Amino acid sequence: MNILLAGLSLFFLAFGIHLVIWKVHLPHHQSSALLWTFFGTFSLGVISTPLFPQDGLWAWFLPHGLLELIHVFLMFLSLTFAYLITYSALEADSPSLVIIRMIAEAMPTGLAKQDLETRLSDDILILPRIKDLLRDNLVVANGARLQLTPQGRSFIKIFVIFRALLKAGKGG
Amino acid sequence: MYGPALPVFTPILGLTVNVLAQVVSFRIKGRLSLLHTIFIGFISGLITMSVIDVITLSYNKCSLIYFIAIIIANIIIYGSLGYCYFHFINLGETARRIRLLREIYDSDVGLTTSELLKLYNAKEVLSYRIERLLQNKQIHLQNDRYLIGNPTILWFANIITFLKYLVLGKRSEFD
Repeated sequence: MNILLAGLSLFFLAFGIHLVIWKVHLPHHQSSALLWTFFGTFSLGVISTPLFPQDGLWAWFLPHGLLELIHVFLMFLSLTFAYLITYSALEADSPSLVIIRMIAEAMPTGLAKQDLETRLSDDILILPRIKDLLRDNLVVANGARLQLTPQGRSFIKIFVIFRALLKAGKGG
Repeated sequence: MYGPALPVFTPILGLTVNVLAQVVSFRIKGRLSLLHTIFIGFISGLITMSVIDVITLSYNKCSLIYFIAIIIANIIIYGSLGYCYFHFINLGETARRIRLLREIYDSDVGLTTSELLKLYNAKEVLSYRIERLLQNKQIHLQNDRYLIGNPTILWFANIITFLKYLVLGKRSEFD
C-alpha cells in the first residue's frame, strides 16, 4: 500500500509545484524546467524521509527498504514521463486539432478548402517548429544551413532505427 | 514489506513484451493498422505482467491489501509506460519536429530553410491530416467545404484547449 501512496503522493506534489511555478513565471526552457521540478521534488522527498515519523499514518506513505524505494521510483518515473510526453503535446498546437477547431468555428456553413490552406501556412505550421529545434539545441544554424547538433543526431537516430525496424516511412 | 523482487520489475517486462508484440505484428501486418498493432502490443504486455504478478504474489502469501495495492501500482506503472510507448510511435508517425530532424539527418551538409520547406511543408502536413480526418469520418467534404462529422475528436480538441489554458495560461501557442 505504501508503494502506491508514496509514488502517487510524490508525483502529485511535483505536479502541484510545477503548476505554481508556471503560474508565477513560464520558464523559457520548459522541458528542462519540468525535469528539474519533478526530479528535484522526488529527491527532496527521499532525502527528507528520515524526518517523518516511521509509524502511524506516515508509515502508509513511506517506502521501507531499497526494493520498495526502487518500486516507488519506477512509479514516479513512469508517471513523470507520461506527463512530460503529454506536456510536449500541449506546447505546440496539433495541426489536426487546429483544423477541427477551425471547421467547428465555421459551422454550420463549414470551412472552404482554400481558407484552410491560406490560414495554415508554413509560417504557422513549420517555421515555429524549426525555431523550437533551434531553441532546444537539437539543430544549429551554420550560416544559412540548418545542421544537427550531437544531441539532435543522437535523438533522431532513435527514431530512424525504430522506423527502420517497423519498415515504416519518414512520417510527418 | 513483501517477498521477492520480481513484482518490482514486471511492468518493465510487460513493456518489453508490448514492444516486441507490436513490432512483430506490424511487420507481419496483413490487414492490421498501426493502431491495431499498438493495441495488440499493449494487451500482450498487460497479460504477461498480470499473470506473473498474480502467481508471484500468491506464492508469497502476502495480505490481500498488499496484493491489491501492488497489482494497482503495477497497472499504473505499466499503463504509463505503455502510454509513453504509444506516444513514441505517434511521434515517429506524425510529429513535425521529428520529420524536420529526419530531413536534416538525411542530408549530407545540412539544409537551408527553403530547401527544408521544399522537402516538407504546410501543404503536406495539411493534406496528410485532412485525408486521415476524412477517412475516420471526423470531417466530411460537401460543396468544397469541410464540415464536422463524428464529434469525438472535437471533444478531445476542447479538452486539450482546456488543459493548455490550465497549465500554460493560454489556449493556443499563438496567443
